[in-house]
Amino acid sequence: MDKLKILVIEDDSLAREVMAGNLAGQAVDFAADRAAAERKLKAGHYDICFIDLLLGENDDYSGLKLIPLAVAKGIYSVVMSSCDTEETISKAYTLGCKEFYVKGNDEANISAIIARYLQGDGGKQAQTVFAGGFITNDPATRALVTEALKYAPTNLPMLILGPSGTGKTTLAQLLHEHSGRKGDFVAMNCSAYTEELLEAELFGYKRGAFTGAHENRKGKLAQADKGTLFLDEIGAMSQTMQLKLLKAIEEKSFYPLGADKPEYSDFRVISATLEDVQKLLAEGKLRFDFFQRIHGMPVTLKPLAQRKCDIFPLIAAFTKSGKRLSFELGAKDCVLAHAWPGNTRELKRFVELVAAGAQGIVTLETVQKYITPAAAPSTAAPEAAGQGDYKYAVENGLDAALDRFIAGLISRSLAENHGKRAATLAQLKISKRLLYATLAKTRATEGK
Amino acid sequence: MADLEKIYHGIKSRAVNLKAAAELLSKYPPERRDKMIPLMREAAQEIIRLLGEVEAALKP
Repeated sequence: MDKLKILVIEDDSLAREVMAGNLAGQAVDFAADRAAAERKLKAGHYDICFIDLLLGENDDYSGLKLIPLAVAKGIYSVVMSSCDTEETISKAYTLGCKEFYVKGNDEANISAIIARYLQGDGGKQAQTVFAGGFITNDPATRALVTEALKYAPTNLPMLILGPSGTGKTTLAQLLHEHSGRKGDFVAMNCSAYTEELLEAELFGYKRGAFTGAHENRKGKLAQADKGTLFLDEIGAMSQTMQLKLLKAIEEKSFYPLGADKPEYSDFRVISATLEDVQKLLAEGKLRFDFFQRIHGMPVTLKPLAQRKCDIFPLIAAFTKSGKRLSFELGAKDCVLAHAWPGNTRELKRFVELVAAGAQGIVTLETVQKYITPAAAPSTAAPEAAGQGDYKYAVENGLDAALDRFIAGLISRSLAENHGKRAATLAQLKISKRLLYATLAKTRATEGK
Repeated sequence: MADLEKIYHGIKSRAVNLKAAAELLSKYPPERRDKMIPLMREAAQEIIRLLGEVEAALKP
């Protein structure tokens, strides 16, 4: 294990010596007064900070004033003081300290603090997480992920919300990695299956359960035994399927298709959707009891447009094992000005395109060439129809032209969303009925 | 915090440090022990001084 970087803010020389003894084996730095503490907190990257509250003879709780500074730097802040009035304790917690201890049982307390920090009860090796597992420099997103990681070792369900490409699957995987669960991370996109297929995929089946079931097959629930089942796009699941899954989640047992005996699986559920959950509930697409069972702790990820500080760290991560890129100033500005409606997925595609080119230095022209202009909803007056569309409408009638227009939009949205129907439903704000009717019509036309 | 409370805090703080140091002392190598003992002595003397202040403050 790497040494933890710890700052001890303590004015008493004997207390510093005691802390050095109790923290042997870690990289410990000391600050004896407020000024030194401020300097070190601003300059250094510490994992944990132990703060004494009274720093000097006539000090007025200047340790309290250091808590926000340490918290802002993402440091796991612990107060260790002999001053333990209720008011002080409450103030310290309000300011963001994670733990408050009265001096006197330091050895045991320090071991517990370090164990808790390493287990992810709060800090969870923040630098490692945010430099690799979930790349973000955005303070709000960091706080959100750190908060979510606190729940990683529990069996509580979690619901991850956010637009497509914001890192829902990455976060789910990260939560699994920090859960301590020995089983696998089993991911499933509910929108990629028809209802029958989804049932077979989730619950598995026995040989002969249906035509084509030539052998027994384990479902995702069984595969996720002692692990995590990640259900993406839960909004695409039918009510019947939600009810079946609800029962399986509550009882931790289920019947594979064609089975006469239940099977058991100790899985933890993490769900995600890019749709508006309240709207899904209001429209009756999401059962309330199912929602209650899966939502546990909700985590909403922000789109990339709201955390632009992550764009270049993400680009660096995407090119880490390949050709590194250097962006010219104008190119950088252009990248930062873009709205990235496809979020990290769009950014990754852009980086792959740019990196595939011959140049290591990325110019403004290169960026403009590969960036997809953000599609903003238009409120302008309608444009005149193109010649092709007009001719088609004149020859086949307006209804046929409208059908063709709708089919074109749906086809493009599906392509941009990698075939995810739920994403298309949300993006175009259309009903399932229209989507399936259009797809059926398109298939029929193609078959002619 | 009133002055007397500050004094109590000082005593308490030094006493717990002294206790913790005493617990660590047996585990320390000789050179570290040599560094620690003068600090413990200073803390003990500081406790005596602070107790004097408490006495003075409590005198009617």
